[in-house]
Amino acid sequence: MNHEFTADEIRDVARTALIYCPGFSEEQFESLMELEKRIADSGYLEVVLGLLRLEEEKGIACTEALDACEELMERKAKLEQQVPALEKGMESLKARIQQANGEYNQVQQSTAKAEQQLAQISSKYAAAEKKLETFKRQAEKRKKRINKEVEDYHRQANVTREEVTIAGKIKAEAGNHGVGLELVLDISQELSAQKNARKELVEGFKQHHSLTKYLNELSEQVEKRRMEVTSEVARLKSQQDQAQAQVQALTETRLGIENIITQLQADVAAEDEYRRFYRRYYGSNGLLEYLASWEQLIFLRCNNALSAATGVFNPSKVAHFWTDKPAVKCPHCGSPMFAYDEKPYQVLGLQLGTSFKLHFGE
Amino acid sequence: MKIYPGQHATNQKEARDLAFQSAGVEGMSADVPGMFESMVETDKTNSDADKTIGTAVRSRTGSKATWHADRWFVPVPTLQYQGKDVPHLIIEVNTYLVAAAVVRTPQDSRLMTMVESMGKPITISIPLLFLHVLLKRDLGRFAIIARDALYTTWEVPGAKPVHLPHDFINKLSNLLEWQSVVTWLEKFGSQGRYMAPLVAGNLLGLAFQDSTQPVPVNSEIVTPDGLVSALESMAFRHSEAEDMVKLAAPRLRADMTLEEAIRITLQTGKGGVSP
Repeated sequence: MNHEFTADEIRDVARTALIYCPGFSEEQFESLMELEKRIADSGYLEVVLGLLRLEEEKGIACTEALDACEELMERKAKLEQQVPALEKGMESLKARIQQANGEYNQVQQSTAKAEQQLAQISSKYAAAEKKLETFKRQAEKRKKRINKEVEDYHRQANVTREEVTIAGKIKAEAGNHGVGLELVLDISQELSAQKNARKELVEGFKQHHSLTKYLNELSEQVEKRRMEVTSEVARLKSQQDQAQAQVQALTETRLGIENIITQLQADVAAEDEYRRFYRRYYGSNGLLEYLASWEQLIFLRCNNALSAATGVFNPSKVAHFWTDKPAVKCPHCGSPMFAYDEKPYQVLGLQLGTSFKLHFGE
Repeated sequence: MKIYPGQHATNQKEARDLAFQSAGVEGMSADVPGMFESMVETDKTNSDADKTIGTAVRSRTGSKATWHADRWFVPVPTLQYQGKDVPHLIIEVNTYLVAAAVVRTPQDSRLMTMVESMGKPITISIPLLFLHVLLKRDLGRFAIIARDALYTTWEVPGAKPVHLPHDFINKLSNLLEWQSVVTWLEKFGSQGRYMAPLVAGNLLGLAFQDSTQPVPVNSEIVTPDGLVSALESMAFRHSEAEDMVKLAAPRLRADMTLEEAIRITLQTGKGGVSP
């Protein structure tokens, strides 16, 4: 309205309004005019919207807005006091990031070193395994050679292993009957049905002056040789046990090293993840810190008819904007038609229009 | 017809000013006639204009005169508020012919400017309830009972069918999207300023109709019909009631409550002492 109504005109307005609205009064008209003047001031509308929002979102009535405002101002002052500490914390965080980078480089170097050591240990282990195999083969050969020697001795003595065992049993049996082996041999020698028994007896007597003595000597030699062979077998068995213990120890060492390698590989993968995260987000650090300084983030999008229609076919055509205060119009097209942007709230897992403040961890 | 010697109109703006001057309207905005241009029947008006100009030229300069004229048709609206029964805003549109003619006679050649109202005025009547609904962009609540290439007719409850040109409705809708009805009326000049309080009052009443508490009968503002009805309900015959109201009319005021008006009417009817 370019000019204001006069008092008479206001009376006419009020009287005419009574046709449709019997309770209408001049005071109501004047209050409407007052409201129109106030609404012409965009700040007034913004304040009213702010108060409505305060009531809807915080449950604070208009009459309590001033107290709430004071409280918010106090909170703002407190938050501003916290800013230097937070800035200091940010600097500290940066230093920690740098330190972490240094440590990461050190870990990388250590990892490389450990990999080299692992390669060395692996080669040593392979050599030891090879040596062990050689040693096993030698031990087998030696065992075979000793067995062969024992067999040779048996052959030379013209006895078999079983015969030696039987001889031992015979000796024990004879001893039980109070008869010495020598006597048995003497008797058996003498009573044997050999063709040249006489001749042999004569030669035995000539050489040893006694058959019994000859048999005793022979028996002693055999016994002595058997003891040697037995001790040699025991020694070889001991060596084999030692070699098996060494193989066991080396196997345990190998398993330990494999565990270390697995751990180191996991560390390297984790460090790679940290490095990728750092490279991807470090550049946006300043923007994120700035957004975190906002009291809240409101995600909005233009919702005028044209934008809504084009947005159905091509969402990128819709203007999106973030604010920390309630908006009154779209900054892109100036339309008062706008709405909450669903996507960020969906990503954050929040209900549409929920107040959101960006927080960072330590 | 007003005839001015010389050329007083060389373009649409000058022609419009001449038409406003002839119609006696003051302070009308230049863009107001544009809203009513679609109501001018150009073909018919052109042939009528030729006759009118020819008659005027011959009456001034004789039958041998030849002429050539530039012509403009300017629709000039005048406003009227009708508050009886259903309140209406009535717009009467007169089309003015403004012609700047070069007239040649056997003796000389001269310039003449003529201004004349053409044909019958066109009247459009807009119930203020219709204007209220138009402001609310809810015209769909009225049934369309007729439509042709130029006009649509709506059925408005309690009023006569509303017959309006499409072009006028479209222009008015667009215009009211950005400015108030009062501002629009002020563009009609002084007549608009006189209408504005009454139109604004009706629209405010309609706007606040649903949000206001019912008024007790004793606080209800009196209307002649309401007063007669009230007296009828008190066992007076209709003719008696009308006579009583006529008798009491000098003491009644439009801003009286119904209760007060009944008291005065009864006192006057009984020959009582006026308050």
